[in-house]
Amino acid sequence: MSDLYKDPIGHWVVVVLAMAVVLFVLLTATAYTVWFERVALGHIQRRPGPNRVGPWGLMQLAADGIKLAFKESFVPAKTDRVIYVIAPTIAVAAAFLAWAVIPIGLWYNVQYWIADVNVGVLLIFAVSSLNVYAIVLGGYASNNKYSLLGGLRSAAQLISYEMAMGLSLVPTFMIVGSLRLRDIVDYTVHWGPYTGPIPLILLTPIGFLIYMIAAVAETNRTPFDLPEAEQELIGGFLTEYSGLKFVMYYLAEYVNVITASALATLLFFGGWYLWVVPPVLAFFLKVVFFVFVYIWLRGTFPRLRYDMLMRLGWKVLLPLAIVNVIVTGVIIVLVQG
Amino acid sequence: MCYSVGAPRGRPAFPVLLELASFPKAASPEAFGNLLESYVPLLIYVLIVLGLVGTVASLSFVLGPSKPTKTKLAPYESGIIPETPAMRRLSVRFYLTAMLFIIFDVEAVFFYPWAVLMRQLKWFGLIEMFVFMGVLLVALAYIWRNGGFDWD
Amino acid sequence: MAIAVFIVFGLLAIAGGVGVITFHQPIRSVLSLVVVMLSLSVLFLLLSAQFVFVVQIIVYAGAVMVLFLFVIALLGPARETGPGRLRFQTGLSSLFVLAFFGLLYAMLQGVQYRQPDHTDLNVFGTVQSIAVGLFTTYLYPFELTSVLLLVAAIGAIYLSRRDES
Repeated sequence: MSDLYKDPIGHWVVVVLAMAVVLFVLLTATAYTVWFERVALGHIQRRPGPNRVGPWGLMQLAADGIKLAFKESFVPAKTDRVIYVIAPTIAVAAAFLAWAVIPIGLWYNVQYWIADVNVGVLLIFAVSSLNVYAIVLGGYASNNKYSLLGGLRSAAQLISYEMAMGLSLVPTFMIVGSLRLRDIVDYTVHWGPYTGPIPLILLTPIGFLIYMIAAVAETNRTPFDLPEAEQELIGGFLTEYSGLKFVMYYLAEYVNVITASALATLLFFGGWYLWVVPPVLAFFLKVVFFVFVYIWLRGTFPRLRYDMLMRLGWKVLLPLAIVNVIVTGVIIVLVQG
Repeated sequence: MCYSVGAPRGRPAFPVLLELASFPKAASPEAFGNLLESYVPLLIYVLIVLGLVGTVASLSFVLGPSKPTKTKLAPYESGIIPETPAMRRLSVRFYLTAMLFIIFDVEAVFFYPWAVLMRQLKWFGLIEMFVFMGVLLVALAYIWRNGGFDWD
Repeated sequence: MAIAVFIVFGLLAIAGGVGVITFHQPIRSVLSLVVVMLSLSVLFLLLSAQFVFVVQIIVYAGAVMVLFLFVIALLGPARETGPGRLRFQTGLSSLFVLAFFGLLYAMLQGVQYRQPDHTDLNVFGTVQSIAVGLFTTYLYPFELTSVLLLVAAIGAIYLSRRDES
């Protein structure tokens, strides 16, 4: 296999293959994440969930998708048509682009990236920071008071938690000394007889906690799903969207959930290392676990009030993240001598 | 590069020394004649994603019926007919939040390079960062005391 | 390859810049500015400045432009229409543009191009090499940045506070 990489044409074969796999796997995974969520939520609420279309309701999402694709997807009157159409496009593009630096094909000693770049995780931050536009522009272009308020609110939410998220990963970067996901997963410790990779959550538990909370807020999921607070804002920025454009926003949301789970796996839970389990399977299982945690949170917690949400972001998570950086820094320098 | 052949375990992630000249060579098989090479797949991926997304967006106009009526195109505001445009003046809080976000985002951007190098910089780097953070904690305290984080 | 990317994104940046000043709806101007920022980030990448490329997106496209969007939301449905009162500006501005390009051209005459010194592209522009410069050679500017951010914080609070009296 490894000769293939050195060959300039083989190299491009690998790249193109990697892209095809990313897009195919992500689209499929998104559909089954929605199915998984509905079934899991169903069981949490003591009802069966989707179980009619196909075995165990597995074809439910295909049915929903086809139905929504053939629904009328109109542009409301007196809106900025161009921006109205661009907004969901940005959401989906940003969601997919994050996967450029996340490994997708894993086998022993072989990992595929679309781009394994030095700035690594920062590229994901950069791309996901563009998500704000999808939401603000969607709200702005809808010419609807609910949409506008929902859009601005969730934009403020996104940017507030983006900082906490960025700072929560700084201790990890300090320990590893690199921003590449590969280096972070391969980080090796020498603890007595044990030499090998470890889940970094052991070294930065607070960082993981902040990351998890911020990631839930970044993906607009319960208990931070203020953008779609039905009781007060109808559908938030989604109110005026229908048909495929509506699907695009939801596609982006679920891709973001998978991205956040994959990042949690890679940054804090040892990525593709899991005892004797083959790398692909290990990575898959861990991601599924985190996706389940998301669903579990949704099934368990009530929504926060907006002022509580902002208070949590700015007055709890941000200072906590800064203190976490300081404490980790002092410990690293002390231990290292 | 866009792939990795058996990233060796135990290789220090980036054994940086303070002299630029002593930077390690890349672990990738080919020399990076051109750094762009590792970003070209990214560029192509961006184009593919944009194409795909654009296709879906245009499909939303092609598939499905198009029978607009005046009521259907009106903004949905819970059955109440909108009298004013949606766009109106909003709370200054949003502006303030965005301002504070820029400040702390720039701060965070300085944290990343420091974080990857802090093992080499040791106490020197730590004290540097404490001075930087100290000033920003003053800013944080000032904003906090003046209610910059309050939304109620 | 690199020259093609440069031309495409250079033109995109210019188109965005033209959009900023020609669109009548402020929101479209802001979006054009976002296009400028993203194109500039690619131009940074062409100069092998990977870290600056990402930071350009995170800070300018992800933060500063969001502030602009919020400002538009604050201003309400204001819309710039018509040529405005200062009609003489059109002629004057084209004069200034001509003078500016003349200046640029004159400046470029004195420029001598040469290969940069340390061009190990595995090193140049990486987070690590930026960090080396930032925390050793350019220590004082770095520390002074925090004061600048403090001033910005105080300014933001001052501007948005409610008058008590």
